[in-house]
Amino acid sequence: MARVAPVLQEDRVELSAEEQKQAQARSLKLLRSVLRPLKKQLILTLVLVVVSVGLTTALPLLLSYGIDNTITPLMEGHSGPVTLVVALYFAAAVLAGLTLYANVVLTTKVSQRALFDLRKRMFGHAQRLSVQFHETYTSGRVVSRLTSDLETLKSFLDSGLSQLASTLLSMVFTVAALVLLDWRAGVGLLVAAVPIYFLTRWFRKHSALAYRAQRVVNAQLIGRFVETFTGIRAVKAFRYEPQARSAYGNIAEDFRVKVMDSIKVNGIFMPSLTAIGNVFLGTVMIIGGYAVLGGSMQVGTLLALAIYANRVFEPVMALSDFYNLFQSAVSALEKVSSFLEEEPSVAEPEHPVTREGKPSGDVLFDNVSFSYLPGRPALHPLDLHVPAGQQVALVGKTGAGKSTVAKLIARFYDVSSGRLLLDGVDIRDLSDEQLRREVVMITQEAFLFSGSVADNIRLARPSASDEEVIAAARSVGAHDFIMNLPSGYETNLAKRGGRVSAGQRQLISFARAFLVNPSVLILDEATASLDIPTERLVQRGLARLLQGRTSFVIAHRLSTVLDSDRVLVVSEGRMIEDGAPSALITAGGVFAEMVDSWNETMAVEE
Amino acid sequence: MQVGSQEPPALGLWEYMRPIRARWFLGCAVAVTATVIGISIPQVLAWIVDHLVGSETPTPGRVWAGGALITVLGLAQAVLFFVRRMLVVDTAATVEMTMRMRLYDKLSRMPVSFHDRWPSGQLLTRSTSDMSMIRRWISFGSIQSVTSALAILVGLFYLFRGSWLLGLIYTCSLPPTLLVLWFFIKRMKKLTRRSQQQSGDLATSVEESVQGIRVLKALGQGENALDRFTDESAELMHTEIDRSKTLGSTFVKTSLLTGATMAISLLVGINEVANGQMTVGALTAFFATTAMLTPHVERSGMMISMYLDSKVAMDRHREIMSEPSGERVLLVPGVTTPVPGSEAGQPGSDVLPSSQPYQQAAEIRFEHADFSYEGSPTPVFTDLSLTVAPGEILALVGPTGCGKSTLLQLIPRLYSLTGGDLLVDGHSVADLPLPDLRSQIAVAFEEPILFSSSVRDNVLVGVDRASKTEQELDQIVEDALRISASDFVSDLPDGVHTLIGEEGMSLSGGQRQRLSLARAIATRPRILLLDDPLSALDVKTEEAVVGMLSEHLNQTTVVITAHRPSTVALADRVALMQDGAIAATGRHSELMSNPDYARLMSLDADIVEEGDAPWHA
Repeated sequence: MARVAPVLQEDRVELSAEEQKQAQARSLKLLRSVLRPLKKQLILTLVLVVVSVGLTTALPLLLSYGIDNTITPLMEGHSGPVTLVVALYFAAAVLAGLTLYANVVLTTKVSQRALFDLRKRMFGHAQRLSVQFHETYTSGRVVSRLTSDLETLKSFLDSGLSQLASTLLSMVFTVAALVLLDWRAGVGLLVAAVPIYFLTRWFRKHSALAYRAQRVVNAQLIGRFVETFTGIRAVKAFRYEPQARSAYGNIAEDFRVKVMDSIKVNGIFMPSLTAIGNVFLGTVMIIGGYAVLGGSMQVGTLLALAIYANRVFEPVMALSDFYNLFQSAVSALEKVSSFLEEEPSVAEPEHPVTREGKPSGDVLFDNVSFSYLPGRPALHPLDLHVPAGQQVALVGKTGAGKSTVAKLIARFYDVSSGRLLLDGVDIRDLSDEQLRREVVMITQEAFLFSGSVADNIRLARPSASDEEVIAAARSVGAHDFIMNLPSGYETNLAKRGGRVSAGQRQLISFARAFLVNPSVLILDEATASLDIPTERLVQRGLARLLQGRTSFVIAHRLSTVLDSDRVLVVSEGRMIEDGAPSALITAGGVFAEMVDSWNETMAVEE
Repeated sequence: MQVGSQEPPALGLWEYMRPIRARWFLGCAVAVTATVIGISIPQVLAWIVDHLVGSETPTPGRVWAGGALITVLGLAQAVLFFVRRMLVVDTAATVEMTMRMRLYDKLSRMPVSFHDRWPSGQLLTRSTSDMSMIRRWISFGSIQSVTSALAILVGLFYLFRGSWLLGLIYTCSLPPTLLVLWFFIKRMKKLTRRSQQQSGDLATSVEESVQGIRVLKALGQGENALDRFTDESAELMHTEIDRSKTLGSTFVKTSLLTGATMAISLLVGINEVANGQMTVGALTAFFATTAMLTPHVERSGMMISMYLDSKVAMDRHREIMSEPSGERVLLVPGVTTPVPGSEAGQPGSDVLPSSQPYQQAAEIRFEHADFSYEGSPTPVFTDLSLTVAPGEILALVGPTGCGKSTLLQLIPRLYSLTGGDLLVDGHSVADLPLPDLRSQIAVAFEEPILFSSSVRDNVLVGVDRASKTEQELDQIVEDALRISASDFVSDLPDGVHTLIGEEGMSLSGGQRQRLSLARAIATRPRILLLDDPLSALDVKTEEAVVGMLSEHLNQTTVVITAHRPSTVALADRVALMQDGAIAATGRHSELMSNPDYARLMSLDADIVEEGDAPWHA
């Protein structure tokens, strides 16, 4: 049976025990590897926590010691003991504050370092993963792995972890102090621990449930809201307001109930805890009072007992809060670790071939086949030689395999068998950096990044000078429109290039490619989304770009195809026709039929 | 609620709380009582201690009584806490719900131009996190503020009663503590904003790097993107460390202040006891009481910031709610007058035969119409006149961005003209009630927006379902899907009952476009507006759809925008739009002599199918 890729596991709610174990092991491994370099700091924070909590716990003891043991000496004229206790108290308080400071800052440093490391790993990994991976694992999910999941880990690491340690320690120290002051108080604590155990168990279960339910409904509420108001035109045009409102209203009501449920769980838990705590306090006072009566304890100690008794259950509340935080952190860590486990299917060569100078652009498919899914070939064994400088048009129906051919040359995927050679070198043996200088692919979607026009062109070669950027833009005919933008090359493109048209976006992406100056150029439906006048504008730039390079063009306009040196007709993953356009038309075949049907369409419209 | 005009006015929090005020006050009173009980417990401790120390013959009776009293008081406090929560919680959630729905209604009424101005993310924050902020303030923050203030007052009273001097010392420590907290909040707010900004930028980088992955890969720029991302991450890391320093130094300051206060109090207190000015019990009570008060003082910082946050949230809520009144649209199914508080007898409501589809086709007339988008200095068009005869199919052709889509959206008044007039059957659309106007028009948008619902429900969105039987509705759905060539529906897991949209299956662009077209056809409107509705279809499917449309659209006035000659072929008449005006109208063949038109339509045709589905899916 095939191994289930870890990332695909995350969609499933129920995991088998074995899978759960694997997920945990994976998470722990990641956590260890992230925290290992920070081991020293981690140990130091633990020491700081111990000191800080120890000092805080000691303060009430100092108070009670002062009340019990300094009043009589003072009445006898000795101010030494009281001065000493007061000085000690002040010193302890200051030291506790300082260690707390050091602890807070150090913990944040550790957590932020770890996150920084994780962020870098995740981002780099996302970049290394193949296009195939990104096609199945949607961008939204990658984004949420890198943002919200890491955010969850942050809130746990930042505050959760050190607070958890200090809360636990504070509980241990306080219990120890109580037992030391009077062992019977310890017994009382044991008795109180029984109802608290059950109460906490009840709370943990119900609050986790309520919390999850609330989050689910909250997501629905957001989904509905966004759907309605991003689609407000359709809502208004179809008078969909009442339906949209009642759907939203139902979810809002559900949300209200879920919020109340979750607060009610708290509303039962917190007062119950207070009740148990206060009964314990009353009991401790009686126990302490008897001890004083019996002479085994002094009155000042009663104060310490009261303060500790008041304090001892506080961590229980805090710990219960951490539980939800902890749970989300665990699940976030599982998702993050499974993402990082995903192996890039297109790997860097171990010993890359270095090439002096530019290759000529000679492409050879040596018995190349490819399948996206095992057993379902997308490209049957193909032998093809494209000499340097040839312009090849790939033609065929949607799904025939044109794009597969293109993507294999650009090494978005690796061939399943056979070899793909560029100037005699298997492209798998070229470093990514080298390959991208030699082969550039332009797709229909000309994605622009936020930043200026110049930044976007320079993206291809960050070291390019301003002159080179402008020269590239001129060559593809983008210079004129860029100069007409408000700040020319420095115009900041709104998010996703909103302020320039589709054609202009495409021109910018041509300029990018021009700057790289590759030997092989691949155009995958690069002009499909343009209207006719815009396409005409782009055509000129395109012609300049294609000059003197080996090119593979997937186009939907006949003129582009007819202008090519060679046409390849692809059908169901096989190459069925290959030749110069005129030769193919003369020979009569699939391509000739295509040209005929095009001519008919024109006749109808005239 | 009697509010005169068509919309309720913007309310403040106090007005929103009107239905729950009584319970809120009661909850407040209960909470205050509970806190006063809690702060009194140390007095019982003093009572026991003084008996143990001061009495010649201390008896266990006093110890028992004291212990029992503490237990009883403690239990009473817990019960009151419980009562308080139960009193306030559901009422606060109800206020939240009311505010959320009011905001939603307001947003539903606001015209499209408002939504153009307000990104949906902004609106979302106002309906989610702002709302829960306000709820937490009502149910927790406001009451906690009152109780903390009273707890401190009562506590101070006890302190002063025990020892005047000690009370004064403690009181003196309060202002500097509050000052430290105040500066802490201010600094923290600034840093938090910075950190949020940086996280936001980081998220944008991530988003772009993932969405632009093909570009980055094709250009081999992954490493450079990583370098930039690393720099941004480092900035965020430093901000976070600054934040922790601020937090840590505040801890140092407060513990210094508290430590000093307690140390001085211990010194003074022991002296007073030694001099007989104070009992040991009172000194014990002092420390026990301050131990209880300190959390209240420290929490006051949190309360202040919570108050400020909820005030901001409330201001943002009001900012939307006090926008000028929106459109008069139906918000509740089955109610024929706009809610709430609308006037009856709106102008023109009797002019048109309302919402009886499949009547005869309507005439559309633009008369010297001007339009410019809000805040844009350049008009989309000026002095535009155009008449579409009843039953005519008119194609709007023009270069990208010439205003074709805008023109279509003016007809159902998604936007309003800035000058001139637009008439449907001779009635100005500005005078027609929106529900009546829009019920006669159906639109298929280029960007098809479907709703989270079944395919069937989506197709029937604009159909008056109450007046039809299920069989009739089934027939409508079947016809609409057939005409729009949506045969893919039968391959969906549950056929027409398959859930789609945000919470359901995701469809490809071409599939959504066809469903959007089916939805428009299903209403059998008097006016059908098609905004480049076939752009994502391949040539063959487009041909089929165009054929069926021309067969079925004989009782409807149709305005269609298009790029492709094949779509234009459907039209009776073509209007060429250019530079904010109608440059020419006529038949396709007539217009081919117009060089601009010929340039737009000419020459090349598509020979290769453009897929509307990912081909290897």
